[in-house]
Amino acid sequence: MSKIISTHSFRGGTGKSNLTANLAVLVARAGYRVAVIDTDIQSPGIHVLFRLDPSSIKHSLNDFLWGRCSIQAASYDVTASAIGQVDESTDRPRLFLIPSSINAGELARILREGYDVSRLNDGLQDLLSQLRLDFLFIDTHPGVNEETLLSIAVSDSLVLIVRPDQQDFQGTAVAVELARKLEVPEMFLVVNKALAGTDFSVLKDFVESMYRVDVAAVLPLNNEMVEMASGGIFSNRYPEHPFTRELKRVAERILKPVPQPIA
Amino acid sequence: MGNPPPSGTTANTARGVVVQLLSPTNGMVLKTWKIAGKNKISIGRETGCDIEVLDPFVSRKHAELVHNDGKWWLVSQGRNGILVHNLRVEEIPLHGEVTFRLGSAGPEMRFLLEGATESNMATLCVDTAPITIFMVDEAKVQNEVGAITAREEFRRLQEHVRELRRKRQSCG
Ligand SMILES: Nc1ncnc2c1ncn2[C@@H]1O[C@H](COP(=O)(O)OP(=O)(O)O)[C@@H](O)[C@H]1O
Ligand SMILES: [Mg+2]
Repeated sequence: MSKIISTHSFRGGTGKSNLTANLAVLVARAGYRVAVIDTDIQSPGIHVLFRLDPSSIKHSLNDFLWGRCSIQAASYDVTASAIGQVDESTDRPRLFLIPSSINAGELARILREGYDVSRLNDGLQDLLSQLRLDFLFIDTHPGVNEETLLSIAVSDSLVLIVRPDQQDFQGTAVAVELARKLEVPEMFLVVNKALAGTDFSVLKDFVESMYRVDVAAVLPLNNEMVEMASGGIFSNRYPEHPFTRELKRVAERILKPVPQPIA
Repeated sequence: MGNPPPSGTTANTARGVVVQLLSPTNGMVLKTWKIAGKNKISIGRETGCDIEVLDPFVSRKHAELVHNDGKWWLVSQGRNGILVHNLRVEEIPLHGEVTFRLGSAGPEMRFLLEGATESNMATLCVDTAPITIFMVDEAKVQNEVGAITAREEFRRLQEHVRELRRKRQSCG
């Protein structure tokens, strides 16, 4: 069974796109078919990390959902640039990028016109089956808006990224509450950009007790990542880096099946 | 012409030292260690180091402060080296306050002799816990959540989602 994972943060700049791209690569490398829906095209989005030329993007998720194009036309195979050469005789690992231009305005229209969550869900289920995906990541817009709510609604798992910062803490609390009300089966936090000198285990305990949500990792502010400036996939360039090791722990967590509620 | 005493011995009892971890953004003190009664102080990422610095650019055993020949020395150990005034050093005597960096991309630290600094320590020392200043205003959260969940769209979404998850579970 495939798994849909939404990554979300209260504000931009938390590292959501970088973390999502890295997690998608690490999960794919474990031998899976993975796709990332990039809804955050405005700010340097995931297509930059995967070195996908924006001018080559002709169709987006919306076109597929509205029946205007096939999924092949809206998805871009980035396996070669994100993972490297793979054995062509097997169909795993594979990594796809699906640009999306679902914006707040369009969503409002969708909701008004009764394009409900079931239809989005059906669309995503088609996507899963046509690309034969094992994992689908959705890089959501920052902040709580309709799109976030829809993403959470169709997800099996929600990964909230938070910086040790007052505004992030406050805003994330709202997302946690809403996710609870939408009964998302799995939710965990990743603290990113923690400063050296902070006691990471204290920070982890503190955040967990504040939200009553597991913290999968506390990731440090990392100079090499700053220098890369979204110029590529960190875990590819620094596979042995302690930061990559922490990311792998988050990836392992995602690889686990979704906990099923007891009926 | 006596040789200096072997490293780590007490020629005269070592004065206590203060080591501070500085913020990369504003140079504020993020953490302070005060260590007395030791002639050898380890600095590194590894648990068990006297001065444990959790930073990916810090080696597990990065450096040592060694009291030798009546003064403190900073001695590099890991591959990442130590920088003082942007120059890489293997070992350097510490006569007073010295700021050094653990590796070219690592955090900046400050060395001070205990006592010499007590007066300005009070204003400088912020000590670790910047964590607890992040608090969530529960009332504000409930307000915002309430405003969203009271909307008709949200209730519809909630219903749909419940149904969806039921369906997926029964066919999954
Ligand atoms: N742990 C980290 N340490 C240092 N820089 C980071 C870290 N995580 C992300 N960044 C940097 O922060 C910037 C914003 O990251 P991005 O992934 O685009 O955030 P978002 O998608 O949340 O807006 C990028 O330049 C990225 O390289
Ligand atoms: Mg982004």
